[in-house]
Amino acid sequence: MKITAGVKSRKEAEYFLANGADEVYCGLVSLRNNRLPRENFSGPEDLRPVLELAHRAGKKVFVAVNELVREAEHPETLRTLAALKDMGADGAILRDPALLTYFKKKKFKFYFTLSTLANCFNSKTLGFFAKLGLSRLVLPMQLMPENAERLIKNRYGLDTEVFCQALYYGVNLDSLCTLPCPQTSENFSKKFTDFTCLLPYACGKDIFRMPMPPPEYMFGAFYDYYHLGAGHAKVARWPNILREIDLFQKVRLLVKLLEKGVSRKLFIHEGLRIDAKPMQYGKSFTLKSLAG
Amino acid sequence: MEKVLLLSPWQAEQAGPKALAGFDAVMTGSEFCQNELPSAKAAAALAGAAGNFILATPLMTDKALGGWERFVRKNRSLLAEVVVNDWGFAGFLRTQRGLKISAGRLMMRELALLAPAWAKDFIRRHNILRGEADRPDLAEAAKRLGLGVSWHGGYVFRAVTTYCPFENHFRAACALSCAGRTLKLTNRQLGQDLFLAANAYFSKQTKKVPASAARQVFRPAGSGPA
Repeated sequence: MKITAGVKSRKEAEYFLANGADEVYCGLVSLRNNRLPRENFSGPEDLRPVLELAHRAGKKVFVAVNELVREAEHPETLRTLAALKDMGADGAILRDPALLTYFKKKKFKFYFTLSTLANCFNSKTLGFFAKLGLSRLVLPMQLMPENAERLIKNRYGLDTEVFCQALYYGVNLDSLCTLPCPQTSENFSKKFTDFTCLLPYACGKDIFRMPMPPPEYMFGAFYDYYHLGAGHAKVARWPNILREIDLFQKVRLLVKLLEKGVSRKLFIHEGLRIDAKPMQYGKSFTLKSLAG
Repeated sequence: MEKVLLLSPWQAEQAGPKALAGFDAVMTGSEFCQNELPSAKAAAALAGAAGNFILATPLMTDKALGGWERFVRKNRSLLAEVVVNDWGFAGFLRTQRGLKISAGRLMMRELALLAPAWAKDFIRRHNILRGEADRPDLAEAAKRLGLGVSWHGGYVFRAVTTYCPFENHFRAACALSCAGRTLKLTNRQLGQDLFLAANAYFSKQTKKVPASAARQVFRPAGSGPA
């Protein structure tokens, strides 16, 4: 299983590529993606050293355009991606069917990955997107292997990429969530330093927290994804780089265990030893990056 | 303005003709939870009593998809309209000739932001005639795209999960533990209460019915959002 890590700067790319990532991905300020501008590269030239570094090591770089893109921005998005392709970028991560249709019409071919934000939960939805020219699918974070077999063993020959949900799980479907969140707005981040989906809510006389599956279940899910044939594990771009490095190192350990062929029971046991409280990721969303 | 009564499948099982009085159509199923497939018996009873029966459908996994497809095939003659939120299921509905489709509240959130020319082509090819809206911008988008506006008063959709908050699982089958339950959730930071019904979170609707609305969707008095 290959590991894909999100990066916000050249230094972060250097770190992950030197420490076992097979691929990195990032955003550019000029390309719509689901991170704040400060978490993106400034432009294609800013990315050039990362492309050179990755390719010297035989590794890959992808660019995220994983939001819906305004029609007026389609031509410029195409020009930017074509320039990045010429510079050696290996592909783009998208979710917009209209943009994919535009690229197809313009005969622009690239290694396109369907973002988790496209909410592709079934094989018919995959068919809808696949005909637009995909090479890889990132499964929704809220889809579990018990429901994903037909997507992983898909008839389009697409690679599949999964999150290590045991370590990082979104409570609600990201692209459809309108609760205030530090991920989506600079303004809200002053008020909401944490995910609002992790807040305690008064519910009658009780305290309610939006439920998450238990860690044992999620470690088991990662094990099952590997054995179903998911080829890539994704460590998402995270504002706090120390937290992302921690996640990345834990994913590496877990992938090593899987590649050793440990049993499901042992994998869950070891997973819980690696991170006993994996879901407590909340307060780590404050921006801390490796600049450069 | 056309009036539609939205019932959960659980309410649909119990609704008598009296409950439907004054409405032009009844809508059941769910835009959010794949396990809220109504029974064929309830569908037949509702269609008979209300005249127009609308099926609301959610995002769905492969395991749930088959059940929803079977329901549509078997009850095709009862269906006045289907509300769709899943791109893949929309493709299936396209094969059901002549079936009227409405873009659901989740799909409208996408169509509102997608390139208009592409969205209009998608709408045409899938026989989508209406858009479900619970925010003014969605109503405006529906109008802009040439769709009839179907306005949901009462509550606004905020978030949806696939992990059942009432039964704690991801399965495409359940004991309907959410039936008849709405949890009011309060946190002062948020500034407004949330309401959990089935697997979705809502806040209270504060906007007036837009002038463009051709249809209004109501919930039974005292009932929760989903």
